[in-house]
Amino acid sequence: MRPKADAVNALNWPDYEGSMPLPSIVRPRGDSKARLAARLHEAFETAKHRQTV
Amino acid sequence: MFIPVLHSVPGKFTIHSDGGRTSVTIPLTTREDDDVQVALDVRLWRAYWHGVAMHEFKFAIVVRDAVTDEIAEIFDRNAAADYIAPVRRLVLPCVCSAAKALVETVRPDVIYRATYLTRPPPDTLSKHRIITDTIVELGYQVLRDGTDPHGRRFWLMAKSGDR
Repeated sequence: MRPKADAVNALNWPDYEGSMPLPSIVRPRGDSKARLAARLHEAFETAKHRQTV
Repeated sequence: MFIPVLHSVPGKFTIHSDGGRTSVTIPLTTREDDDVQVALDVRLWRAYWHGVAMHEFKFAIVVRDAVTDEIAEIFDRNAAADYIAPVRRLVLPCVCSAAKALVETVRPDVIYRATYLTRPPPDTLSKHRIITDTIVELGYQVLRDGTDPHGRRFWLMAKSGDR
């Protein structure tokens, strides 16, 4: 994979303007509900702790 | 009825990083009975666009029902409105502050961002202009922007001097 911005510039844009970006973007597999729930739980616990200190 | 948990924009954030998924989660409100929690989740996640490695910036309102343990991710501001009503004025400043923290931590070469809405009304774009300006302040410039075939506005930003 090409990590640099010049790799973006190197794309032949006219080829892509008509097809971007939904079919073309490849994301990591979605956040699992468990991970998201854990982040949420930690954030609220931290906020609760701040309120009581 | 939702009551605020957030009273001001946090000065610092806990940054979670997991396999290229870097996120900040900020508690916003809870329902009066405490059975529903609402948070802002700001993300800078590694992605590939036409084979080019980049990071996608996005944010969502996350709603957790503590009774059923179900979680919903809301990207539509109208759908989120009731959940965030008491802290609405803080949401965009929090998105920008979290964006700063995430970008300064990850320092990605290229950042991709798109509107959730197709054919977004002009008033929703002002929010995106503020986010773009925030990222510009961090040493990035807009490499490409436009409207995709689905009618979504998109921005590709790269480190200044990396064109």
